[in-house]
Amino acid sequence: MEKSNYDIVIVGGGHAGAEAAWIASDFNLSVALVSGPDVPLGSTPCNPAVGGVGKGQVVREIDALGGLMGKVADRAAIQYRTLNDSKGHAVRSTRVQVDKDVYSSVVEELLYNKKNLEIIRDKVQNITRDENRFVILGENNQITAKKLIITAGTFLGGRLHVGKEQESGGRTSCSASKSLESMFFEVKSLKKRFKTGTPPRLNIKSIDFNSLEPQASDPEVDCFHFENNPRKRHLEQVSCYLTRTNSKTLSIIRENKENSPIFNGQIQGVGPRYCPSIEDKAFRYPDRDQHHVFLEPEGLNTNTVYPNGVSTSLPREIQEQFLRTIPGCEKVEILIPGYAVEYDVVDTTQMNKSLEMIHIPGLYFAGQVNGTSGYEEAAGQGLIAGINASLSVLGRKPLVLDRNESYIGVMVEDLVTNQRDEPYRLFTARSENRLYIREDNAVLRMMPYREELGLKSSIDVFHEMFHVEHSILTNLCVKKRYSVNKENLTRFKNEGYGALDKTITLSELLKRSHLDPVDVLKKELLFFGAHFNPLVVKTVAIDLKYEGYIKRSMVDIERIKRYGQKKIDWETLHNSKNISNECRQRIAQIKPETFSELKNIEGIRPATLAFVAGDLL
Amino acid sequence: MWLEKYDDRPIIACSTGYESNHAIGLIRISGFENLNLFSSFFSLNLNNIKPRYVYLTDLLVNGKKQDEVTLTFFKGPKSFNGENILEIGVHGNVLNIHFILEGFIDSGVCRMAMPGEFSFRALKNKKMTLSQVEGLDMFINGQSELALNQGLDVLNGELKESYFNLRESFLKLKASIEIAIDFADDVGEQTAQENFNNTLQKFSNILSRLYERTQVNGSRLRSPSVILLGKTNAGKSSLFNALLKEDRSIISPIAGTTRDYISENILIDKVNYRLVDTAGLRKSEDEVEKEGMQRAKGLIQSSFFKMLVINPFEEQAWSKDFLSSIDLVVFTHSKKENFDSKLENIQKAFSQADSVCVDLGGPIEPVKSGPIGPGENGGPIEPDDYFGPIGPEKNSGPIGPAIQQINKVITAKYKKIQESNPILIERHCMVIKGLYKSLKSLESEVEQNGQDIGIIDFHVQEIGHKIADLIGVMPPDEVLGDIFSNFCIGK
Repeated sequence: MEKSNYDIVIVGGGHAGAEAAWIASDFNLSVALVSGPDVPLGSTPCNPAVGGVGKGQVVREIDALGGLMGKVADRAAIQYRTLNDSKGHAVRSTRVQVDKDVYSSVVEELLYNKKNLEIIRDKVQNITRDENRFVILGENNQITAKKLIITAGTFLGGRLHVGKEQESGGRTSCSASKSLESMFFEVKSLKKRFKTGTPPRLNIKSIDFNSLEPQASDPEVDCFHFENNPRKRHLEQVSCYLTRTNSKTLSIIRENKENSPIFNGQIQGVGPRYCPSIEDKAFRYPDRDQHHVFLEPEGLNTNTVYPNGVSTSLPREIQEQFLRTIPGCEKVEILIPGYAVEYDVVDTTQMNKSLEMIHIPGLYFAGQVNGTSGYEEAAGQGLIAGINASLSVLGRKPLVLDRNESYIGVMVEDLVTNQRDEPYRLFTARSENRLYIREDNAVLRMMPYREELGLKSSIDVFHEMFHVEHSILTNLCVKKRYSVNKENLTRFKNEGYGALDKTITLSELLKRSHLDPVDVLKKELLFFGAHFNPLVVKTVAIDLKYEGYIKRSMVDIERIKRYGQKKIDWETLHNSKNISNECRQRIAQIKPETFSELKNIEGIRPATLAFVAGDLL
Repeated sequence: MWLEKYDDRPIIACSTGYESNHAIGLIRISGFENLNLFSSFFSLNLNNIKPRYVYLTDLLVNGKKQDEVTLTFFKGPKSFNGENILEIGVHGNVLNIHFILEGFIDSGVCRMAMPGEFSFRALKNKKMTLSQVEGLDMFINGQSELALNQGLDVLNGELKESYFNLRESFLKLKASIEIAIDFADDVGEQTAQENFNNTLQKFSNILSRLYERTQVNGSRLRSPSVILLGKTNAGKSSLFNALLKEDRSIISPIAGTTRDYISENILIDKVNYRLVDTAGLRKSEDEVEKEGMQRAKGLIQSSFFKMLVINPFEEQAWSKDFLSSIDLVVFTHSKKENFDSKLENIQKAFSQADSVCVDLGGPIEPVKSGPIGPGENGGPIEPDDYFGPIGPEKNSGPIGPAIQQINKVITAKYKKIQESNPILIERHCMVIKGLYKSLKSLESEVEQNGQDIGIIDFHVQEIGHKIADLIGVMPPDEVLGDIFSNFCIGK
C-alpha cells in the first residue's frame, strides 16, 4: 500500500477532473489525480464534439482563465463549424467535432507531463476525514489531502441499461464506483437519480454516405485556444452527414414500448428533456416521424460513427432493426449498442459558489456528479473547483465569476441556488446578458479574473497584448472621422457603406445595420495600412456595433446587481419569527449570502423577500 | 420582475388620487439624495430651500410652465417615511396631474411608485409598524406571479384574462427567440423564423388592444369631457348654461360668439365631467376662429361624450360618419310652432342616437323628449322609464327633467365603458404604454435588423423587464419548459 500526502486530490479523470488538476498544479501545490485504471483520462463517452451554442462561450472562458479544454479541442478537432452564423455576431458559437482517441491522448500527454501533478490509477474504496485532512483509500494506495475534489461523473452508483439487460457500470466497459453514501457517509446525494443515454456506435464501413447531405468543416472558424493561429488546423478535416428517420423507423420503436427501459419502468432516473432518446421522441411526438440524424465520425483512425439523434436503450437487435430503415444505414452494423445510465447526483444547493460543501469545508464537487450534462459544463466547474481549492490551500479569498460576465458564472450560481429536477445544461436563455457574454470577447471578460489568480504564463502576456490593442483600436474607431469629400464619397459608394451626408466616425459606420462590422473594420484597417491581431479586430468591431444596447442593458443589470449584492445575514433570518417555517428551512439549507441568492431560492415567499428588502433598501 | 425594487431612483406618485378633479393635488417624490436632481423642474433655485418651509414656484415640464405650485421639502429622517421627501401642491385637475407626473417620469429622474411603496419605505425606516402599513400586500405581491392568482382577482374578469393572454403570448415570444438561438438546429431554421413571426404578431395584437384601452379610457374616463356640438346658434351655449345652471358663455344672437371653446366642470352622479362648449362648426376666414376650430376638432376626437345640438328649423347636413359618433342629439326650440312637423322631417337622419327635445328660449322648459330609433350608444337605459314616446302632445314644465334625462344618458355611457374597460389603474396604464413603446421599437428593429437576433432579443428582454410589473417574472425555466413541451428538441 503506497502512502502519500498532497495539498489537493482530485478523484475522477474526466473533463472536470482534468481541468481541476491542471489549474491546481499551476499554483505550485502538490496535486494528485486519482482515476480508475480502466478509464482513459478526458474521454468523450457520448457525442464526440466540443462547443455549441452557449457551450462555445464556456470553452473560451475556460481557455482565457488558463484552462485545458480549448487547447485540447483544437488539437483533436476534425471539423469546425459556426452555429447561428446567419443570426448576427452576438449569438454565434463555435462547435468542433473531435477525434476522441486524440482528445484523450492529448489530455493524458498534458497531465502526465504537468509539473506538480501526480496521476494515480486506482479505484477509490473509501473516504474518511482525519482531523483536517481527507483520507482517500484505494485498492493500492492510501493518500491524504488538504482539499478534495470529487469529479465522479456518472460513476457513483452507476447502472447501465440495454433493453432488459442491466448491470452496474459508470459507462460501457467501465465498472461503476460505490454509491456516494457508502463511500463517504457524510455526503448525501439527491433522492432522485438522473439518467442519460447515448446512441449506438456504428461501423463506418457499413454506412453508404453517397446519398447523404455532407456538412463540411468551415476553414474560416477561429480556433478555441486564443494563442493558436486562429485558422490553424492540427488534424485533417472531415465532414459529418445528415440523414433522417422515417415512419418505418418510428413504428418499429413504437411497437417495442415494452422493451424500452425508459417506458417499462425499469429506469427510474430523470433524463434531460432537451436531449430525448429516440423512444422519447417516438412517444412524445406521435405525429412526427422525421427526425434529424447526424452521422459524426468519431475520429480519423477509428471505424466508429456516432449517430447523433438516436440515443436509445432498446435491446440491441431492435436498435439494429430501426437503424436499418434510415437512408444510408440500410446495411448498418452496430459495434457498441446504445445504452442508458442511471447515476447518483449530489445536492448542489449544499455548496457555496466555490463548489465547496458548506458544512464540509475542503470538499468540492464538480461535473456531471453535480447533475449537469455536457463536457463543457463539467470542465467549467472543474476549473472553478480547482482554482478555489488551490486558493483555499493558500489562504486566499475564493474566485467567484459574475453571472453577468460569464456563462460559467451563470451555471455556478444556478447550481448552488436551486435543486435540479433534470440534468442541467447551459442554454444562452439562462443568461440575462447575452449581447455581452460572447465568444469573441472572452479574453476581456475573463482577464480581471485571471489577474486575480496571480499566475503568470504565456496566456497572461497574450491577455496584456489583447487588452492594449483593444483599447488602441477602439480609440482609433471613435476618433477616425470621414468628412464629406470626394474621396470618401467614392469610397462609401464603392464599398456599399451607405450615405455620407455629414461627417461620421468609423465607430458610427460600424453600427450601421446593413453592414457586417467585422468585415468593414477589416477593410478599413487594410485601407489605412494598420495591422491588429484579427481576434482584437473582431472583438472591437462587435463591441462597437452593440455598444449602445450593451450599455442600456448594463444599466438595468447594474441596478439589479447593486441591490442583489447586498449582504444578508441568513442566520438571523433563519431565527426570525417573522418568516414562515418553510422559508426558514430553505434558508438554512441554501444559506444565501446575498439578496439575489435569497431571491433565487425556489419557494421563497414574496413576503420574506419584502421583509428582508426592507432592511436592505 | 423585482427590477422596480432594484430601481433605486426616487419614486413619485400623486397622493390625492387620479380618478377625479379636486381643487388641489398633492404629488410626492421620495428617496432622493439631493434636491438639485429636480432643478430643471422649478423656476425656483432649489439650493436655498429650507426644510419644512412652503415655497411658491412655477413647475416646468420640458422647460415650459405647466403649473404654479407650492413646494415643501421634508428632510429625512424627519419625514413621514424617513426619506427625503418633496411635496408639490398642484392644481388638482387630473389632466394637469397627469402631465406633471409624466414629465417627471419621462425625464428618467423618477419612477412611478408602486402601490404601497411610500408606506413600505416608512416600514423599513421604522416609521410605521407592519400593521399600520396599508397596501403593503399590493407592494409585495404586485409583481410576483401571485399577483396574477390573487391580486388580479380584484380586477374585472375580462381584464384579468387579457393579462393572462398577454403573459401567455409573451412566453411564446420569448420561447421563439430561445428556439431561434439555442435550438434552431433542432426545429429547423425555417420553422424557427416562422414561429418568431407568428408569436410576435400575436403578442403585438394582444398588446395593441390593451394599449388602445389605455388610450381611449385612461384619459377619457379619468377626466371625461362632455362636448357640445352643433351649428352656430343651434343653442349650444344656452344648453351649456342650462347644464351648468349658471351663466358662463357669452350668449348672444349673433352667430359665432363662442370663438374658442369654453369648459367648466360639472358633477353628474358623483363623476366629475368637463363640459365643453365648442365654436360653431362653420367655415370661416377669421384666423382666430380657425385656430379655435382646430382645437375644437382635437377636443371632439378625445371627448368622452358627444352631444349634438340641433335646431330643427334650420337646414341639416351631417355626414353619416359624424352622426355615428354622436351619443346624444338635443333638439332645441321645442316650443316653437311647427316643431313636431319639422322634427318628423329630419328625425330619421338622427335615428342612431338617443335624443332629447328641449326648449331653451326664455324661461327654459323642456317640451318633450323621447328615444328616436334604437339608440345603440345609450346603454341600458329603458327609454320608456323617463323619455316617453315621441308624441304630438306638448310637454311643459321646468327644464329640470330634460337635464336629468341628459345626465342619465351620460352616466349610462360612463358606467358602460367603466364596466368593460377597467384599465384605469394609473400604474397599469403607465406599464402598458411603456410596453407599447418598446413593442414599436422592437417592430422597427425587426424591419431593420431582422437578421441580428441578438438585437431583437435585446428589445424582447426590455419588454420582459416592463411586462414583469404587470404579469410577474418569467423565469428561464418556464420558457425552456414551454419549448420542451411544444417542440422536439435534441438531436
